[in-house]
Amino acid sequence: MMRHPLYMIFGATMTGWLAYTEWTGGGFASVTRLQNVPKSVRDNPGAYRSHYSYIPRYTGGK
Amino acid sequence: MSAVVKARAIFCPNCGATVQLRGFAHTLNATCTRCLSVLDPNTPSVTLLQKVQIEQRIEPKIPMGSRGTFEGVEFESIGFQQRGIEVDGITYSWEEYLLFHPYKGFRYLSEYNGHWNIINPKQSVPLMDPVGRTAMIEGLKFKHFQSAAARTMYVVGEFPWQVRFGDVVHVNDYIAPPKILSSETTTDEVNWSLGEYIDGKEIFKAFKLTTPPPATQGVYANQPNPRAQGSLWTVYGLFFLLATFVSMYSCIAKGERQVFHKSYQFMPASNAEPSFVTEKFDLKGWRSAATDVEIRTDLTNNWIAFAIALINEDTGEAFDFGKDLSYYAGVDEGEGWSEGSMKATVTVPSVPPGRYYLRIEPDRDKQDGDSPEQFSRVINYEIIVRHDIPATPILFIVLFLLLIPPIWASIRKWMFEQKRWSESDYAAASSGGDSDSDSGSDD
Repeated sequence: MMRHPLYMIFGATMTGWLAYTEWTGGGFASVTRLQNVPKSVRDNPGAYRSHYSYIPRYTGGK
Repeated sequence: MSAVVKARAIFCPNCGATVQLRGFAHTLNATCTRCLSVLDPNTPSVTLLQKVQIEQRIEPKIPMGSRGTFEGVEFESIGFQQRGIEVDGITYSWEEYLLFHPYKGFRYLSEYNGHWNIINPKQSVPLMDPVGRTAMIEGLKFKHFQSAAARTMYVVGEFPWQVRFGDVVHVNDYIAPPKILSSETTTDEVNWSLGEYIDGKEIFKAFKLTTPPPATQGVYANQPNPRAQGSLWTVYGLFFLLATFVSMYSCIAKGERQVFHKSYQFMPASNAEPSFVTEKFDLKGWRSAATDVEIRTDLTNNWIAFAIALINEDTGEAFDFGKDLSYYAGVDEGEGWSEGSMKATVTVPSVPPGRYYLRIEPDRDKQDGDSPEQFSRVINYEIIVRHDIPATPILFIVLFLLLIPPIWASIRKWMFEQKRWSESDYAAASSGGDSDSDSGSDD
Protein backbone atom coordinates (compact mmCIF):
# COMPACT_ATOMS: atom_id res chain seq x y z
CA MET A 1 0.00 0.00 0.00
CA MET A 2 2.82 2.38 0.79
CA ARG A 3 3.97 2.01 -2.79
CA HIS A 4 1.30 4.54 -3.65
CA PRO A 5 1.86 7.39 -1.17
CA LEU A 6 0.15 9.98 -3.36
CA TYR A 7 -2.93 7.82 -3.76
CA MET A 8 -2.92 7.08 -0.04
CA ILE A 9 -2.89 10.83 0.68
CA PHE A 10 -5.58 11.43 -1.94
CA GLY A 11 -7.75 8.61 -0.58
CA ALA A 12 -7.31 9.72 3.03
CA THR A 13 -8.21 13.28 2.03
CA MET A 14 -11.31 12.13 0.17
CA THR A 15 -12.44 9.88 3.01
CA GLY A 16 -11.75 12.63 5.52
CA TRP A 17 -13.74 15.07 3.43
CA LEU A 18 -16.59 12.55 3.27
CA ALA A 19 -16.55 12.12 7.03
CA TYR A 20 -16.48 15.90 7.59
CA THR A 21 -19.26 16.45 5.07
CA GLU A 22 -21.38 13.71 6.62
CA TRP A 23 -20.77 15.17 10.05
CA THR A 24 -21.67 18.74 9.13
CA GLY A 25 -24.33 17.91 6.54
CA GLY A 26 -22.45 19.55 3.70
CA GLY A 27 -23.53 19.31 0.07
CA PHE A 28 -23.79 21.04 -3.27
CA ALA A 29 -27.40 22.24 -3.32
CA SER A 30 -28.17 25.43 -5.19
CA VAL A 31 -29.01 27.43 -2.11
CA THR A 32 -28.17 31.09 -1.52
CA ARG A 33 -27.04 31.87 2.00
CA LEU A 34 -28.04 35.31 3.25
CA GLN A 35 -27.21 37.12 6.47
CA ASN A 36 -29.07 39.65 8.57
CA VAL A 37 -32.58 39.04 7.31
CA PRO A 38 -34.70 41.50 9.32
CA LYS A 39 -37.11 40.17 11.90
CA SER A 40 -39.85 42.20 10.23
CA VAL A 41 -40.13 39.48 7.58
CA ARG A 42 -42.40 37.58 9.92
CA ASP A 43 -44.84 40.47 9.99
CA ASN A 44 -44.50 41.46 6.36
CA PRO A 45 -43.48 38.44 4.24
CA GLY A 46 -44.13 40.33 1.01
CA ALA A 47 -41.34 42.76 1.79
CA TYR A 48 -38.74 40.03 1.57
CA ARG A 49 -37.14 39.86 -1.84
CA SER A 50 -36.19 36.29 -2.54
CA HIS A 51 -33.04 35.82 -4.56
CA TYR A 52 -34.89 33.18 -6.46
CA SER A 53 -37.79 35.50 -7.40
CA TYR A 54 -35.68 37.25 -10.00
CA ILE A 55 -34.75 34.13 -11.94
CA PRO A 56 -36.87 33.47 -15.06
CA ARG A 57 -38.80 30.30 -14.40
CA TYR A 58 -40.37 27.41 -16.21
CA THR A 59 -43.84 28.29 -17.35
CA GLY A 60 -45.03 25.66 -19.77
CA GLY A 61 -46.18 22.12 -20.20
CA LYS A 62 -46.66 19.88 -23.18
CA MET B 1 36.32 -10.10 -3.45
CA SER B 2 38.97 -8.50 -5.62
CA ALA B 3 41.39 -10.66 -7.56
CA VAL B 4 44.68 -9.28 -8.82
CA VAL B 5 44.94 -10.55 -12.35
CA LYS B 6 48.17 -10.37 -14.23
CA ALA B 7 47.43 -10.12 -17.93
CA ARG B 8 49.27 -12.22 -20.49
CA ALA B 9 50.34 -10.60 -23.77
CA ILE B 10 50.58 -12.00 -27.30
CA PHE B 11 51.51 -10.42 -30.61
CA CYS B 12 49.12 -10.19 -33.54
CA PRO B 13 50.58 -12.16 -36.48
CA ASN B 14 48.77 -9.82 -38.88
CA CYS B 15 49.88 -6.38 -37.68
CA GLY B 16 52.31 -7.08 -34.84
CA ALA B 17 50.30 -5.21 -32.23
CA THR B 18 50.37 -6.37 -28.61
CA VAL B 19 47.20 -8.09 -27.41
CA GLN B 20 46.61 -8.44 -23.68
CA LEU B 21 44.79 -11.51 -22.41
CA ARG B 22 42.93 -11.47 -19.10
CA GLY B 23 40.82 -14.60 -19.35
CA PHE B 24 43.55 -17.13 -18.54
CA ALA B 25 42.95 -20.56 -20.00
CA HIS B 26 39.30 -19.72 -20.65
CA THR B 27 40.19 -17.60 -23.64
CA LEU B 28 39.70 -19.50 -26.88
CA ASN B 29 39.68 -16.52 -29.24
CA ALA B 30 40.87 -12.95 -29.01
CA THR B 31 40.86 -10.01 -31.36
CA CYS B 32 43.70 -7.69 -32.15
CA THR B 33 43.01 -4.27 -30.74
CA ARG B 34 44.58 -2.59 -33.78
CA CYS B 35 43.48 -4.58 -36.84
CA LEU B 36 40.59 -6.53 -35.23
CA SER B 37 41.87 -9.82 -36.63
CA VAL B 38 40.53 -12.83 -34.76
CA LEU B 39 43.34 -14.83 -33.18
CA ASP B 40 43.77 -18.19 -31.50
CA PRO B 41 46.09 -17.40 -28.58
CA ASN B 42 46.38 -21.01 -27.49
CA THR B 43 48.70 -22.07 -30.27
CA PRO B 44 52.41 -21.42 -29.74
CA SER B 45 52.70 -19.06 -32.70
CA VAL B 46 49.24 -17.45 -32.26
CA THR B 47 47.10 -18.47 -35.23
CA LEU B 48 45.34 -15.87 -37.34
CA LEU B 49 41.77 -17.13 -37.61
CA GLN B 50 40.05 -14.26 -39.41
CA LYS B 51 41.11 -11.02 -41.06
CA VAL B 52 38.46 -8.35 -41.27
CA GLN B 53 37.93 -5.04 -42.98
CA ILE B 54 35.84 -2.80 -40.73
CA GLU B 55 34.80 0.57 -42.09
CA GLN B 56 33.91 2.07 -38.75
CA ARG B 57 35.25 1.04 -35.38
CA ILE B 58 32.86 0.92 -32.45
CA GLU B 59 33.92 2.26 -29.09
CA PRO B 60 32.35 0.14 -26.33
CA LYS B 61 30.47 2.20 -23.77
CA ILE B 62 32.23 0.12 -21.09
CA PRO B 63 35.95 0.24 -21.95
CA MET B 64 37.78 -3.08 -22.23
CA GLY B 65 39.72 -3.84 -19.06
CA SER B 66 37.54 -1.71 -16.81
CA ARG B 67 36.19 -3.31 -13.66
CA GLY B 68 32.79 -3.16 -12.06
CA THR B 69 31.32 -4.77 -8.95
CA PHE B 70 28.07 -6.71 -9.17
CA GLU B 71 26.63 -8.76 -6.31
CA GLY B 72 29.80 -8.04 -4.35
CA VAL B 73 32.08 -9.50 -7.03
CA GLU B 74 34.44 -7.43 -9.12
CA PHE B 75 34.22 -8.40 -12.77
CA GLU B 76 36.46 -7.21 -15.56
CA SER B 77 35.19 -6.35 -19.00
CA ILE B 78 37.22 -8.50 -21.40
CA GLY B 79 35.05 -8.82 -24.51
CA PHE B 80 32.61 -6.82 -26.56
CA GLN B 81 30.49 -7.70 -29.51
CA GLN B 82 27.76 -6.06 -31.49
CA ARG B 83 25.11 -8.34 -32.83
CA GLY B 84 22.07 -7.65 -34.94
CA ILE B 85 18.98 -9.07 -36.52
CA GLU B 86 17.40 -8.07 -39.77
CA VAL B 87 13.66 -7.52 -39.94
CA ASP B 88 12.00 -6.30 -43.14
CA GLY B 89 15.34 -5.10 -44.44
CA ILE B 90 16.12 -3.10 -41.29
CA THR B 91 18.99 -4.13 -39.04
CA TYR B 92 18.40 -3.89 -35.30
CA SER B 93 21.61 -4.20 -33.34
CA TRP B 94 22.53 -4.54 -29.69
CA GLU B 95 25.75 -4.69 -27.76
CA GLU B 96 27.06 -7.40 -25.47
CA TYR B 97 29.85 -7.15 -22.94
CA LEU B 98 31.67 -10.19 -21.58
CA LEU B 99 32.64 -9.85 -17.91
CA PHE B 100 35.10 -12.18 -16.22
CA HIS B 101 36.17 -13.04 -12.71
CA PRO B 102 38.86 -15.70 -12.20
CA TYR B 103 36.79 -17.57 -9.58
CA LYS B 104 33.21 -16.60 -10.34
CA GLY B 105 33.44 -17.09 -14.08
CA PHE B 106 31.55 -15.12 -16.71
CA ARG B 107 28.66 -12.69 -16.79
CA TYR B 108 27.27 -10.79 -19.72
CA LEU B 109 25.83 -7.34 -20.05
CA SER B 110 23.60 -6.53 -22.99
CA GLU B 111 22.39 -3.12 -24.06
CA TYR B 112 19.74 -2.17 -26.59
CA ASN B 113 18.39 1.38 -26.91
CA GLY B 114 19.53 2.18 -23.38
CA HIS B 115 17.97 -0.96 -21.88
CA TRP B 116 20.48 -3.14 -19.98
CA ASN B 117 20.44 -6.73 -18.81
CA ILE B 118 22.90 -8.62 -16.67
CA ILE B 119 23.02 -12.18 -17.90
CA ASN B 120 24.12 -15.41 -16.31
CA PRO B 121 24.86 -18.50 -18.41
CA LYS B 122 22.74 -21.47 -17.33
CA GLN B 123 23.90 -25.06 -17.30
CA SER B 124 20.39 -26.43 -16.70
CA VAL B 125 17.83 -26.75 -19.46
CA PRO B 126 14.39 -25.22 -18.92
CA LEU B 127 11.21 -27.23 -19.12
CA MET B 128 9.47 -26.35 -22.39
CA ASP B 129 5.84 -26.76 -23.35
CA PRO B 130 5.25 -28.90 -26.45
CA VAL B 131 4.84 -25.95 -28.82
CA GLY B 132 7.65 -23.87 -27.35
CA ARG B 133 5.46 -20.98 -26.20
CA THR B 134 6.48 -21.19 -22.56
CA ALA B 135 9.56 -22.26 -20.63
CA MET B 136 9.93 -23.01 -16.93
CA ILE B 137 13.15 -22.55 -15.01
CA GLU B 138 13.91 -21.81 -11.36
CA GLY B 139 10.19 -21.80 -10.60
CA LEU B 140 9.44 -19.03 -13.09
CA LYS B 141 7.26 -19.38 -16.14
CA PHE B 142 8.58 -17.54 -19.17
CA LYS B 143 6.55 -16.64 -22.22
CA HIS B 144 8.07 -16.79 -25.66
CA PHE B 145 8.71 -13.29 -26.96
CA GLN B 146 10.62 -13.55 -30.18
CA SER B 147 13.00 -15.64 -32.24
CA ALA B 148 15.55 -14.37 -34.71
CA ALA B 149 18.81 -15.12 -36.45
CA ALA B 150 21.43 -12.97 -34.76
CA ARG B 151 24.59 -12.10 -36.68
CA THR B 152 27.83 -11.01 -35.06
CA MET B 153 28.64 -7.63 -36.58
CA TYR B 154 31.58 -6.48 -34.51
CA VAL B 155 33.96 -8.12 -32.05
CA VAL B 156 36.70 -6.85 -29.81
CA GLY B 157 38.47 -8.44 -26.82
CA GLU B 158 38.66 -12.10 -25.89
CA PHE B 159 36.10 -14.85 -25.61
CA PRO B 160 35.77 -18.34 -24.17
CA TRP B 161 34.21 -19.58 -27.40
CA GLN B 162 35.03 -19.58 -31.08
CA VAL B 163 34.01 -16.14 -32.31
CA ARG B 164 34.00 -14.78 -35.86
CA PHE B 165 32.67 -11.71 -37.56
CA GLY B 166 29.52 -12.77 -39.39
CA ASP B 167 28.70 -15.68 -37.07
CA VAL B 168 24.98 -16.44 -37.05
CA VAL B 169 23.07 -18.10 -34.20
CA HIS B 170 19.37 -18.70 -33.81
CA VAL B 171 18.11 -16.82 -30.77
CA ASN B 172 14.91 -17.42 -28.80
CA ASP B 173 13.86 -15.02 -26.06
CA TYR B 174 11.36 -15.85 -23.32
CA ILE B 175 10.27 -13.24 -20.81
CA ALA B 176 8.94 -12.99 -17.28
CA PRO B 177 9.73 -9.35 -16.49
CA PRO B 178 12.18 -8.38 -15.15
CA LYS B 179 13.78 -11.70 -16.22
CA ILE B 180 14.61 -12.86 -19.69
CA LEU B 181 15.53 -16.39 -20.69
CA SER B 182 17.45 -16.79 -23.93
CA SER B 183 18.65 -19.69 -25.98
CA GLU B 184 21.31 -19.48 -28.67
CA THR B 185 21.30 -22.37 -31.05
CA THR B 186 24.06 -23.31 -33.48
CA THR B 187 24.46 -26.48 -35.47
CA ASP B 188 26.44 -27.96 -32.59
CA GLU B 189 24.86 -26.79 -29.37
CA VAL B 190 22.19 -24.88 -27.50
CA ASN B 191 23.27 -22.38 -24.84
CA TRP B 192 20.81 -21.02 -22.28
CA SER B 193 21.20 -17.85 -20.29
CA LEU B 194 19.08 -16.04 -17.75
CA GLY B 195 19.11 -12.26 -17.69
CA GLU B 196 17.61 -9.61 -15.47
CA TYR B 197 16.73 -6.06 -16.40
CA ILE B 198 19.01 -3.54 -14.73
CA ASP B 199 19.09 0.24 -14.75
CA GLY B 200 21.91 1.60 -16.90
CA LYS B 201 22.80 4.04 -14.12
CA GLU B 202 23.64 1.10 -11.84
CA ILE B 203 25.98 -0.34 -14.44
CA PHE B 204 27.74 2.94 -15.10
CA LYS B 205 28.04 3.49 -11.37
CA ALA B 206 29.47 -0.02 -10.89
CA PHE B 207 32.11 0.65 -13.55
CA LYS B 208 32.71 4.17 -12.19
CA LEU B 209 31.94 5.69 -15.59
CA THR B 210 31.54 9.43 -15.45
CA THR B 211 29.44 9.73 -18.60
CA PRO B 212 25.68 9.28 -18.29
CA PRO B 213 24.25 6.01 -19.65
CA PRO B 214 22.34 6.24 -22.93
CA ALA B 215 18.72 7.26 -22.53
CA THR B 216 16.18 4.48 -22.87
CA GLN B 217 14.01 4.37 -25.95
CA GLY B 218 10.76 2.48 -26.18
CA VAL B 219 9.83 -0.50 -24.04
CA TYR B 220 12.19 -3.46 -23.83
CA ALA B 221 11.09 -7.10 -23.81
CA ASN B 222 11.65 -7.73 -20.10
CA GLN B 223 11.49 -4.16 -18.85
CA PRO B 224 9.43 -4.15 -15.64
CA ASN B 225 6.07 -2.51 -16.03
CA PRO B 226 6.23 0.51 -13.71
CA ARG B 227 2.46 0.29 -13.23
CA ALA B 228 2.62 -3.33 -12.07
CA GLN B 229 4.29 -2.60 -8.73
CA GLY B 230 1.36 -3.41 -6.49
CA SER B 231 -2.17 -2.66 -7.48
CA LEU B 232 -4.03 0.57 -6.82
CA TRP B 233 -7.19 -1.54 -6.92
CA THR B 234 -6.29 -3.12 -3.58
CA VAL B 235 -5.92 0.32 -2.02
CA TYR B 236 -9.12 1.44 -3.73
CA GLY B 237 -10.92 -1.54 -2.19
CA LEU B 238 -9.81 -0.48 1.27
CA PHE B 239 -10.94 3.11 0.73
CA PHE B 240 -14.21 1.83 -0.73
CA LEU B 241 -14.90 -0.12 2.45
CA LEU B 242 -13.79 2.75 4.66
CA ALA B 243 -15.88 5.37 2.85
CA THR B 244 -18.93 3.09 2.80
CA PHE B 245 -18.51 2.42 6.50
CA VAL B 246 -18.26 6.16 7.24
CA SER B 247 -21.39 6.85 5.22
CA MET B 248 -23.35 3.93 6.69
CA TYR B 249 -22.34 4.88 10.21
CA SER B 250 -23.46 8.43 9.49
CA CYS B 251 -26.81 7.15 8.19
CA ILE B 252 -27.36 5.05 11.28
CA ALA B 253 -26.17 7.75 13.69
CA LYS B 254 -28.33 10.50 12.17
CA GLY B 255 -31.85 10.89 13.39
CA GLU B 256 -33.44 12.22 10.17
CA ARG B 257 -36.13 13.89 12.28
CA GLN B 258 -39.23 15.35 10.66
CA VAL B 259 -39.58 18.76 12.24
CA PHE B 260 -42.33 20.36 10.18
CA HIS B 261 -45.27 19.19 8.08
CA LYS B 262 -48.19 21.34 6.97
CA SER B 263 -50.67 21.57 4.07
CA TYR B 264 -51.50 24.73 2.14
CA GLN B 265 -53.55 25.93 -0.79
CA PHE B 266 -52.60 28.33 -3.55
CA MET B 267 -55.08 30.18 -5.73
CA PRO B 268 -53.24 31.59 -8.76
CA ALA B 269 -56.12 33.85 -9.75
CA SER B 270 -56.26 35.52 -6.36
CA ASN B 271 -54.92 39.04 -6.00
CA ALA B 272 -53.88 38.46 -2.40
CA GLU B 273 -50.22 38.56 -1.40
CA PRO B 274 -48.99 35.02 -2.13
CA SER B 275 -46.03 34.99 0.26
CA PHE B 276 -46.42 33.97 3.87
CA VAL B 277 -44.39 32.61 6.76
CA THR B 278 -44.88 29.35 8.61
CA GLU B 279 -44.89 28.58 12.30
CA LYS B 280 -41.54 28.32 13.96
CA PHE B 281 -39.86 24.99 14.44
CA ASP B 282 -36.64 23.85 16.06
CA LEU B 283 -33.68 22.28 14.28
CA LYS B 284 -32.08 20.55 17.22
CA GLY B 285 -28.52 19.39 17.73
CA TRP B 286 -25.14 20.89 18.50
CA ARG B 287 -23.65 20.90 15.01
CA SER B 288 -24.67 21.87 11.51
CA ALA B 289 -26.58 19.29 9.51
CA ALA B 290 -28.30 18.91 6.16
CA THR B 291 -32.00 19.72 6.04
CA ASP B 292 -34.53 18.50 3.47
CA VAL B 293 -37.47 20.61 2.39
CA GLU B 294 -39.96 18.46 0.51
CA ILE B 295 -42.84 19.89 -1.53
CA ARG B 296 -45.79 17.64 -2.44
CA THR B 297 -48.52 18.95 -4.72
CA ASP B 298 -51.65 17.74 -6.44
CA LEU B 299 -50.63 19.23 -9.80
CA THR B 300 -52.36 17.85 -12.88
CA ASN B 301 -51.54 19.42 -16.22
CA ASN B 302 -50.39 22.43 -14.35
CA TRP B 303 -47.26 24.00 -12.90
CA ILE B 304 -46.19 26.04 -9.92
CA ALA B 305 -43.00 27.77 -8.77
CA PHE B 306 -41.88 28.23 -5.20
CA ALA B 307 -39.44 30.75 -3.74
CA ILE B 308 -38.61 29.52 -0.26
CA ALA B 309 -36.37 30.87 2.48
CA LEU B 310 -35.41 28.91 5.57
CA ILE B 311 -34.80 31.69 8.08
CA ASN B 312 -33.13 31.47 11.48
CA GLU B 313 -35.21 33.61 13.74
CA ASP B 314 -32.37 34.36 16.14
CA THR B 315 -29.45 35.05 13.83
CA GLY B 316 -31.27 36.36 10.77
CA GLU B 317 -29.42 33.89 8.57
CA ALA B 318 -31.49 32.67 5.62
CA PHE B 319 -31.14 29.83 3.15
CA ASP B 320 -32.86 31.02 0.00
CA PHE B 321 -33.82 28.64 -2.79
CA GLY B 322 -36.47 28.00 -5.41
CA LYS B 323 -38.18 25.05 -6.97
CA ASP B 324 -40.35 24.68 -10.05
CA LEU B 325 -42.83 21.85 -10.26
CA SER B 326 -44.89 20.78 -13.22
CA TYR B 327 -46.86 17.67 -13.98
CA TYR B 328 -48.60 16.92 -17.26
CA ALA B 329 -50.28 13.69 -18.26
CA GLY B 330 -52.62 12.47 -20.95
CA VAL B 331 -53.28 9.93 -23.65
CA ASP B 332 -51.69 10.27 -27.08
CA GLU B 333 -52.68 7.88 -29.89
CA GLY B 334 -53.92 5.39 -27.36
CA GLU B 335 -50.85 5.52 -25.15
CA GLY B 336 -50.69 7.22 -21.79
CA TRP B 337 -47.93 9.69 -21.14
CA SER B 338 -46.75 11.90 -18.34
CA GLU B 339 -43.93 14.32 -17.75
CA GLY B 340 -42.60 16.18 -14.75
CA SER B 341 -43.36 15.42 -11.15
CA MET B 342 -45.84 16.45 -8.49
CA LYS B 343 -43.23 16.56 -5.76
CA ALA B 344 -39.64 17.65 -5.22
CA THR B 345 -37.08 17.86 -2.45
CA VAL B 346 -34.40 20.48 -1.88
CA THR B 347 -31.52 19.61 0.45
CA VAL B 348 -30.18 22.62 2.31
CA PRO B 349 -26.60 21.84 3.37
CA SER B 350 -24.93 22.68 6.67
CA VAL B 351 -27.82 24.27 8.51
CA PRO B 352 -26.84 25.27 12.07
CA PRO B 353 -29.18 24.30 14.90
CA GLY B 354 -31.68 26.92 16.01
CA ARG B 355 -35.25 28.13 15.76
CA TYR B 356 -36.39 28.54 12.18
CA TYR B 357 -39.40 29.35 10.07
CA LEU B 358 -40.07 29.21 6.34
CA ARG B 359 -40.98 32.13 4.15
CA ILE B 360 -42.88 30.60 1.19
CA GLU B 361 -43.84 32.39 -1.99
CA PRO B 362 -45.81 30.26 -4.46
CA ASP B 363 -46.16 31.65 -7.96
CA ARG B 364 -48.03 30.69 -11.08
CA ASP B 365 -48.25 33.41 -13.76
CA LYS B 366 -51.09 33.45 -16.23
CA GLN B 367 -49.94 32.06 -19.57
CA ASP B 368 -51.23 32.86 -23.04
CA GLY B 369 -52.78 29.43 -23.49
CA ASP B 370 -54.40 29.30 -20.03
CA SER B 371 -58.14 28.92 -19.94
CA PRO B 372 -59.95 30.74 -17.09
CA GLU B 373 -60.72 27.37 -15.50
CA GLN B 374 -57.13 26.28 -15.74
CA PHE B 375 -55.75 29.47 -14.26
CA SER B 376 -58.23 29.58 -11.42
CA ARG B 377 -57.62 25.98 -10.41
CA VAL B 378 -56.61 25.68 -6.74
CA ILE B 379 -53.27 23.97 -6.12
CA ASN B 380 -52.95 22.01 -2.87
CA TYR B 381 -49.49 21.38 -1.53
CA GLU B 382 -47.66 20.18 1.55
CA ILE B 383 -44.34 21.33 2.96
CA ILE B 384 -42.29 18.80 4.94
CA VAL B 385 -38.99 19.63 6.66
CA ARG B 386 -36.58 16.94 7.82
CA HIS B 387 -33.39 17.72 9.69
CA ASP B 388 -30.04 15.91 10.02
CA ILE B 389 -30.34 13.82 6.89
CA PRO B 390 -27.41 11.74 5.51
CA ALA B 391 -25.38 13.26 2.68
CA THR B 392 -25.45 10.05 0.64
CA PRO B 393 -24.60 11.61 -2.76
CA ILE B 394 -21.25 12.69 -1.35
CA LEU B 395 -20.34 9.02 -0.89
CA PHE B 396 -20.86 8.36 -4.59
CA ILE B 397 -18.82 11.42 -5.54
CA VAL B 398 -15.97 10.25 -3.29
CA LEU B 399 -16.09 6.70 -4.64
CA PHE B 400 -16.05 8.04 -8.20
CA LEU B 401 -13.09 10.35 -7.57
CA LEU B 402 -11.20 7.52 -5.86
CA LEU B 403 -11.84 5.36 -8.90
CA ILE B 404 -10.04 7.66 -11.35
CA PRO B 405 -6.38 6.91 -10.35
CA PRO B 406 -6.69 3.08 -10.50
CA ILE B 407 -8.48 3.24 -13.83
CA TRP B 408 -5.82 5.58 -15.19
CA ALA B 409 -3.04 3.33 -13.83
CA SER B 410 -4.66 0.26 -15.42
CA ILE B 411 -4.85 2.01 -18.77
CA ARG B 412 -1.19 3.03 -18.50
CA LYS B 413 -0.22 -0.51 -17.54
CA TRP B 414 -2.16 -1.92 -20.47
CA MET B 415 -0.55 0.58 -22.86
CA PHE B 416 2.90 -0.36 -21.57
CA GLU B 417 2.21 -4.04 -22.25
CA GLN B 418 0.88 -3.17 -25.70
CA LYS B 419 4.15 -1.39 -26.47
CA ARG B 420 6.18 -4.30 -25.13
CA TRP B 421 4.39 -6.94 -27.18
CA SER B 422 4.30 -4.79 -30.32
CA GLU B 423 8.01 -5.60 -30.59
CA SER B 424 7.48 -9.34 -30.31
CA ASP B 425 6.68 -12.12 -32.73
CA TYR B 426 3.10 -11.83 -31.49
CA ALA B 427 2.51 -8.16 -32.23
CA ALA B 428 -0.77 -8.87 -34.03
CA ALA B 429 -2.04 -10.81 -31.01
CA SER B 430 -0.45 -8.61 -28.42
CA SER B 431 -3.47 -8.50 -26.17
CA GLY B 432 -3.18 -12.21 -25.65
CA GLY B 433 0.40 -11.92 -24.67
CA ASP B 434 0.33 -9.53 -21.80
CA SER B 435 -1.60 -11.62 -19.33
CA ASP B 436 1.32 -13.81 -18.48
CA SER B 437 3.86 -11.07 -18.85
CA ASP B 438 3.07 -9.82 -15.37
CA SER B 439 3.95 -13.08 -13.74
CA GLY B 440 6.79 -11.41 -11.92
CA SER B 441 4.57 -8.76 -10.37
CA ASP B 442 2.35 -8.94 -7.37
CA ASP B 443 -0.58 -7.35 -9.12
